Amino acid sequence: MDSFLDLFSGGTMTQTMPVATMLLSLMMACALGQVIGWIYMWTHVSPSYSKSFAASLVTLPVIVALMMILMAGSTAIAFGLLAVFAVVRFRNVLKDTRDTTFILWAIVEGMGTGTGHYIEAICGLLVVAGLMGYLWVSDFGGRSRYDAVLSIDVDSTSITIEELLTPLLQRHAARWKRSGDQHLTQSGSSVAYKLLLRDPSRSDELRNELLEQSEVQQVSLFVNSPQSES
Amino acid sequence: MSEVNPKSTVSTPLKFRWQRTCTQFLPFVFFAFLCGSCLLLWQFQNRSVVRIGEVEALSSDVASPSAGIVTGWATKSGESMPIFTSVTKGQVIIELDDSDLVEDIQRIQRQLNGIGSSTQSKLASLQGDGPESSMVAASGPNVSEADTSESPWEKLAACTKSATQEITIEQLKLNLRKTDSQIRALQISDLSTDDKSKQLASLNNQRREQIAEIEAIRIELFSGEAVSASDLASENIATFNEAERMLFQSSVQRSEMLEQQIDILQKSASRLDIRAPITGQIEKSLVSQYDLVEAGSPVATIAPTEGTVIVVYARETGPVRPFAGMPVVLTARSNPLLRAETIVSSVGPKIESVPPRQRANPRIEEWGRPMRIDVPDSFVIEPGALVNVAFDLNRRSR
Repeated sequence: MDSFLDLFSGGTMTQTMPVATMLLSLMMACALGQVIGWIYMWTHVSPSYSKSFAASLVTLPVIVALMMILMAGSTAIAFGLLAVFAVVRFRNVLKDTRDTTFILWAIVEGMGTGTGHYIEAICGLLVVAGLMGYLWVSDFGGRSRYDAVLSIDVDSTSITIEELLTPLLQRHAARWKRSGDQHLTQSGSSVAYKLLLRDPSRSDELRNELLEQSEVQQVSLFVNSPQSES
Repeated sequence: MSEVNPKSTVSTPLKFRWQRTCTQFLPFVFFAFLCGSCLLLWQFQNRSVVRIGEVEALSSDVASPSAGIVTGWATKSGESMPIFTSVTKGQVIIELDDSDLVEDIQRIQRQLNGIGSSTQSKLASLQGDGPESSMVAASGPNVSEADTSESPWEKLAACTKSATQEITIEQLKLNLRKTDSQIRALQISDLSTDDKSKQLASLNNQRREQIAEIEAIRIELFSGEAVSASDLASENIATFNEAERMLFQSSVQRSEMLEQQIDILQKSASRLDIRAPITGQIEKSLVSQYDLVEAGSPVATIAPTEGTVIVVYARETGPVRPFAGMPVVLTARSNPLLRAETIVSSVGPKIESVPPRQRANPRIEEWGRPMRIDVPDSFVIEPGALVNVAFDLNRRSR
């Protein structure tokens, strides 16, 4: 047991840097990756937004930093890593960015233990695992400003829809926003809203209250699921 | 349009409230935690530069202190060379022939024994039989048995003078022997021919003068001239005792001189044993049994078994600015648990090429200033081993 603990204090024959320096590198990579993820979340406007991609942007710098620590300037290890990753990627079509992150993580862990860098492998495992847990708990990458889409067909054009819907939306939603323009039909008009429901479990209550309104012809309420790549 | 009570707002369950709070604020909290951890770890960073050093141990050439014939290796019997034999500092490794010196020591010891017995007999004659017996006790040939007209003082004076002359002769012989040694040493030296011839001429002249002095005193000793006899004739009985003491004193002086000669010869004999100057292993043997070696010629090379100094280079373009007394931390590359803290002993004056073994990439040439670090006693490592030398950048300048 003492010899195992000595790995953390005295060092092994192949340890490239102290544990404190290694943790500093990994944590700084994590912080910088999070900044990159935030910028991606805030600046992405196209519909192809992917929450897993944003989360991968946080994880990848940490894994790459761990990889660089293990390589320690060794060209042979670098080429070996390239070869292994190419083989894995060739045999597996990775659809999700998150899957690629896990594959890379597994390869790096195997490279670390295979080259004798036990301390680096263990520290990297703990840091990345903790990071993955944080991403799952915090639902990082999910832009949950609105969690429901409401589409209403109204047959009256003499009143504005806001006058009709505002009290109801205020009761059931913490935040709402009209998405798109009001579509005028032969019988009335149709409009869509994005909602942040106060209690998503009571969405049916909102629908029923809207249908009770005489001007409302049809109500479609869709509660959003987490976005993913298609 | 039905009216809705605006006050009956749907309450958000705690689960959704907590979930939304987490998703909104947890990333910021985590980011703050990361930044704080980075700052904390940064302060505890040991900003040091690690360079590869090599342990060196200078081999020592063993030279013969005097000329002689090799009788054999003290470390191993026979003519075979004891390569890789371990020796300790001061241990005799080669023995030279000392038979001549032994004979000289025995001869002088016999002379010493003779002086003691002759002095005792002279003293007995002076004290027991009176002045007439001084003739028998006289050691010098200048006193004949038929000559009984001389006073006791004259006879004592003659005895004292002869003893003193003998002492002088022995002293001159010793000086002559020293001159001969100087001549022999000069003959085998590496001086130029002109210098050697000049010094040899001077020593030869000195030698001739010393021989002339010895012969003059011998002639005086056998010619019977007692120069100081009239001076001692007027002395009283107290002076007789003093004369007796003078006789003893001359014998004692002579004995002491011979003992000194024996001591010198014994020291010369001890110098015939070639001893190891350091502890290590015999790396090379340059002589064989019955070889004739000259004074100062190398006979063997001893390599130390433990490293004594570490040589490391401070790169020309690196952040380390070396100076003597700079603290460093040594870690053996073969055993990372072997560590020691010490200081830089000295720094080389000029920038040199770093040896390939100490480069990060042996194919890429590097330049730096060499530094020597004395190996601490607790850091036991073999010569040629590589060592990680860590320089603390926080203390890189004086």
